Amino acid sequence: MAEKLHITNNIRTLRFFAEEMTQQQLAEKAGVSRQTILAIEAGKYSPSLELAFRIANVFHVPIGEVFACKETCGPVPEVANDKTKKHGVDITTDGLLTDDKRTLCGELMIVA
Amino acid sequence: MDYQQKKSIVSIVESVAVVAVYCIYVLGKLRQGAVSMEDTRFFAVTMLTFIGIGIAFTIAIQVVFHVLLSVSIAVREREKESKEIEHAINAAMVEDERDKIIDLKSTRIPYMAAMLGFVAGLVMLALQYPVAVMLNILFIASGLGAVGEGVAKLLYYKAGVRNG
Repeated sequence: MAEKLHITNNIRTLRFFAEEMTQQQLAEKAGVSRQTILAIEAGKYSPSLELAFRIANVFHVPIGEVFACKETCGPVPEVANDKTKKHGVDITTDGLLTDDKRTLCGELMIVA
Repeated sequence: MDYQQKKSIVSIVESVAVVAVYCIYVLGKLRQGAVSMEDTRFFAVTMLTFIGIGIAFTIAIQVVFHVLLSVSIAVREREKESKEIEHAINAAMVEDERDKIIDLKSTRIPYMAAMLGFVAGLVMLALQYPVAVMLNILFIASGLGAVGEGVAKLLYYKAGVRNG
């Protein structure tokens, strides 16, 4: 069985920079209840893909900028190795992802 | 505590009340000697009556609960226009994907309780107890299953749930 991923999000930060949007406002735009947004921010609920995209659309950012893996994104597949070298970014297993790495990880996941 | 959690608590109280009143009524009748365990018809009629009472009670409680919640929101938002108040009421009672997932996960409890009750009833019949014993076990197991469902919902809302 696949390992459970610990998914984190930047929703609170994104709300703050979106003219201090409230949880209720975000909930209405995403079509869910305020309690669901609260649960997502607190890490108590993993949204569906559709809801994740709807939340990303509210902030007009890619989904990778809203949600991320706390641990690594997993071993880099062979196909992706060339791409990482081309981009000059080395996705290491230090357990931390910088913004560049996170964005590239998201792109690689989409390609894969 | 949000609308769905309050609804779960109300559901737990309803289930406990129906099962408790049924047990008190039936045990009272048995102690008085007005009925025996061989009188299957009495138990069937009583259970059907309590099922009907339970359904009517559920509907009435949910309506009252809905009205009270709407009134409380309307009082809280009284400065705003009626459309905004209506919007706030609808927003408070929305059932989204998280509620549906919790609902689905919690629904397993009453199914398991009913199955366990059925098996326990069969065991009682195999041990040559009256049929009324099996009926009572099934009825009480269903009631306890409903209580378990409400408790499971509250736990999921508290602890969180994963999608998938």
